[in-house]
Amino acid sequence: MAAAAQAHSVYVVVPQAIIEDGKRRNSSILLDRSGTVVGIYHKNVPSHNELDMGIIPGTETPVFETDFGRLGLAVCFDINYWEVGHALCTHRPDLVVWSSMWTGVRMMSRWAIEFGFYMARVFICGGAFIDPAGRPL
Amino acid sequence: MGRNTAVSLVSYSPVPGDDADHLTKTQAKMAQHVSEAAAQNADLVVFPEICAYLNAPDT
Repeated sequence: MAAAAQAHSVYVVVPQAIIEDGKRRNSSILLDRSGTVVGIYHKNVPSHNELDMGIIPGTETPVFETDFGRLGLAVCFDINYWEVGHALCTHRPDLVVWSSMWTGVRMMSRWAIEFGFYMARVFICGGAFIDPAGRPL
Repeated sequence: MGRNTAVSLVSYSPVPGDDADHLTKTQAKMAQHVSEAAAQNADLVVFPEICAYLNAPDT
């Protein structure tokens, strides 16, 4: 993916299961236009099944500088937890990308309204954008 | 955000895990999606959760 990001000069978010320092994580990796890893977000709230599989929760909610704005990342089950959205909000992202396995129904709108950022969702059967007023774009 | 931004959300299906070469083929598929998104002037390309392993019907 790094080669593809560099070849086409785009940022890429690659959500992936990884092992870091011996810990299993469900993470989202941000590559910049040169294919360099800008940062990694570790899912703060793994599902019960993931915990049973040994996935370790992340404890940080970093926001990354890009040439188009400040980007936050979240993963799937995180959307159910106000604490994750609030922690992201304190770092003032312009856009939060939420990679998931489900639609999240109206939780994206709730986060966007309450925390004041744009949101983008992608899962294997669809995607959506939500503005800070909670409206689908 | 500082300017208009083009974001590509990639809903796709990885190559099934019963294919011995599924990771390599899935990577190639993802790279193709990045290429197609870039051709549409994307700034950011986003894949779904655990994007190299999940199986789903193509949409």
